[in-house]
Amino acid sequence: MASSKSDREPEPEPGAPPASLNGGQVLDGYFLKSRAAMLDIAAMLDRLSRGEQSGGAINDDRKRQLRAALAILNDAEGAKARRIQEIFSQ
Amino acid sequence: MFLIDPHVHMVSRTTTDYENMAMAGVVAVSEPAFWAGFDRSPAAFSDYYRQLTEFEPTRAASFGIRHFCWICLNPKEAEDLGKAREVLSLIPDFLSRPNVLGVGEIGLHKNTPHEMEVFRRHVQLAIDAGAARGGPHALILIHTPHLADKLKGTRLILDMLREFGAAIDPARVLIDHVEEHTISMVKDAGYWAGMTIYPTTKATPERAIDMIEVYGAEQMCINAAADWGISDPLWIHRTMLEAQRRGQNRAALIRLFHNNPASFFGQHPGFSIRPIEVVEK
Repeated sequence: MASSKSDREPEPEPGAPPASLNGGQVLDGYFLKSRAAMLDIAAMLDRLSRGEQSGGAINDDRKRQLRAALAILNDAEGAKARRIQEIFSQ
Repeated sequence: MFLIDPHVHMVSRTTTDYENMAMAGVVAVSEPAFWAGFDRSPAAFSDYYRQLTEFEPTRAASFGIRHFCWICLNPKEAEDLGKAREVLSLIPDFLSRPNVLGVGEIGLHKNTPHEMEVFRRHVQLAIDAGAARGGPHALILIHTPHLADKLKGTRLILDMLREFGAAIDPARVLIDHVEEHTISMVKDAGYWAGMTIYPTTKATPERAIDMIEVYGAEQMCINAAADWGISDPLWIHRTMLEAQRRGQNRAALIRLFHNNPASFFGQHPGFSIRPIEVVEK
């Protein structure tokens, strides 16, 4: 089965120097913290859905920003932090 | 480990913070003038500038910390041009006080025309202060806006600085609170850049060291901008730990957390703390 774009490993930004840690060291050092951060986001989105049952926020542009940022997290391009910053800061 | 805190609002911190900072190796702090959480009258600014130039140096000195500061009207209070005119008229006298490094933290908050006008007037004050001494313009410390306003605000600030042409030396200007989307435009233009560890609205230790890895440590300072919000001067130390965790040696840490601020601030004759060298025998 052909892999989708989001299945591929993200490419680093052209010209970016290598990190001081190798891939395994990055996962060892940051996996748990990132897992917790993702659960925080998931729980906030669940909270938002439940909150919307009481009204408000249906067309709030901040929801679009969050969706756009989530798409970047899962795409195959690098410079994710910079590109997400650009969504939140026009 | 010795370090210099390049941006901290000690007027809103406790004396215990000074003690903790001293125990954690802080040898000097640089305190920009800022917003107090509410808008003040022009008369209150005179008292505030006295607090920065008279009282805080004494409080810091009791813990062996040198206290330096910056004087300005912060951008959050720049909407009232009449008040701005009155406050700006106080600034030249304070710029000559011994612990004042220059004009700051000026900048933009919501990128309004009035904020921009007051920004330009501050830059002119810095130029005039230098001319009065027969030297280069006073050092300038610049606040870039938070969150949604940062990208546009940083561009506007760079554009306005360019208007002054050769009267402004980028090596005498530090543009603070850069993040992933603004760091390269600041560094490419030759300015010093500051990164602020204030995890909710600015950078985290991990992201700051990522940016150091990608963009280099040249002309970079790291601060926590600790103030009356949810903040902590020791976020700088957490960032130092993050750098250490990634294999940076003592010389690299001293360079980033002590020598870089010492080099930028050392352009002011009153800042006598010199870069130090780590020799491992």
